Amino acid sequence: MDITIKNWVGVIEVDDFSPLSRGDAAFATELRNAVVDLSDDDFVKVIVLRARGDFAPFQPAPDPGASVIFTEWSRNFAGAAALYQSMTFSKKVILTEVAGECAGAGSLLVLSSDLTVAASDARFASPFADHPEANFVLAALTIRLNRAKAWLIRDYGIDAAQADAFGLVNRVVDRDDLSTTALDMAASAALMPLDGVVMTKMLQQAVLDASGVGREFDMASFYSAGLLVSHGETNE
Amino acid sequence: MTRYGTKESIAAAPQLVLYEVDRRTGVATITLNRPEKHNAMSVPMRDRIVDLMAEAETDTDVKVIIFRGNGRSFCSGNEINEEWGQRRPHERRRTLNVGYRYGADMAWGRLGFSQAISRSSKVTIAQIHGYCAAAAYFMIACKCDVVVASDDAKIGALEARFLGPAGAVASVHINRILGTKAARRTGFTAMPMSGIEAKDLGLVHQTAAVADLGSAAQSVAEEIARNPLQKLLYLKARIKAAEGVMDTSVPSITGLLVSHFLQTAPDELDFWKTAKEVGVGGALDADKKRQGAADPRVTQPAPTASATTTATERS
Repeated sequence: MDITIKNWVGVIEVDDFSPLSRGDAAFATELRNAVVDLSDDDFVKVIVLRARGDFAPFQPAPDPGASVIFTEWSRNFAGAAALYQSMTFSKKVILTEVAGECAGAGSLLVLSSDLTVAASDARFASPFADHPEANFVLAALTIRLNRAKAWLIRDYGIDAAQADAFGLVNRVVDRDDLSTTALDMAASAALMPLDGVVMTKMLQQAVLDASGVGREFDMASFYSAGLLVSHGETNE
Repeated sequence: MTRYGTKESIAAAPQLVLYEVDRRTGVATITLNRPEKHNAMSVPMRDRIVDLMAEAETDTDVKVIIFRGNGRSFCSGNEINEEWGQRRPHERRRTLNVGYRYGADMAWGRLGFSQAISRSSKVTIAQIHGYCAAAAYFMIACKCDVVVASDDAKIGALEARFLGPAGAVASVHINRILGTKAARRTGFTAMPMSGIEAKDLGLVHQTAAVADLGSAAQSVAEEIARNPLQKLLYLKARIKAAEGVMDTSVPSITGLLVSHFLQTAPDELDFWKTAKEVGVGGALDADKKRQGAADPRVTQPAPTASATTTATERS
């Protein structure tokens, strides 16, 4: 995981974000720490999440162990201090830069970020069938309720053009132009005064919580338990 | 539990709401079968929907439920001039207890057919063609998980013209589905959305030519039903819980109840009198003669530059 800071923009670069999809707690913690550290950095206004290849190639998601759902699993993936809430309620603007396959947890990162620039070959899989920590309220707020429902139930991939039309991403560009466009957008946000960015993000927390985003994260452990039950029934 | 309706309307309900289960595919179909009335729903028809949803709930062969309508339209909403057993039908709009029973218990409250749909543990699909108006719009289409519509369907709160726009405007659910501007437009103008417009706004998931609509909805239903039942139950449980935290599961349309008790202006009372005599369509025709009255059945064309009155011209 490479972390650079330049011109008020912190960039977190990894090979891809698929370790999150396979439940890699160490990776989730490392990424969470990077996000929180950059959020705390007085010389960072915007945080960019970038993959060197496809954003999040598909990885099978293992069920969390029943005995740790309400403890370690929640702490690592769903809790108030875990990665996705650290991103959603970050003090700084978070931008995801998505190319190619965006499966599983990749779509959670997109939903948890403020801005997204996508390559024209990006494809966003529904995270809901396999990831109990996926926040449906964020999806409904982002692409509207019925689109989020259909995404969840049909469990299909949204291509870049659809994502643009739905409001899941802010811009779609050729893959060759992705990083440049993402940094341009980050630079635009970085023109804002630091305190203005932080105050806006603080106010945004209240708006998101009033809409149920925090409460939906709180439900994740129960969703996880329900997923275990459904898998058990299915496998019988 | 008391069942409301006349002896005849209660007896007719099983023929007016048909139910079929394809146990091979896991798809159940609820068909509104009152084509001569654009499938307007009587109280016993809505009660039958409640019963059928309960039956489907415990039927482990049913994974997906399609709502569709026979004839020219999906459904024009609730029956307007129905005698359903109210004690004082000519005063029902002024009697809170009766109004609550009609508006909440029978329609959108905890006992109503709308929540029987929205709180179902099975996946629900609305297959919409022709008119999808009033209760059919916000109590069926907006409550189903997936909406498949014909390109030229007419979807919206057409009842707002004579019941007030609260049901369409003051609903958290519809605002989350359409966005606030579109929700207000559908309520305050009563003008319908086409299937294509409803897809652009997010209500409709997929459109098709009306001739292909049935196969399109069936295809979506069967694709979903190929999933294990437990997976679908899990996903539906997730939606219901999330809607709980978003406050979209509870129909925030108390305004609709208020609408039933609005003190209407004398000319608006003429609407109800005419509707009682010649039906809602005839009342709308008569109402067009009133200055400023709009016919919600007709999509208004966008104003052209030449047709737009400028401030200068007005002055």
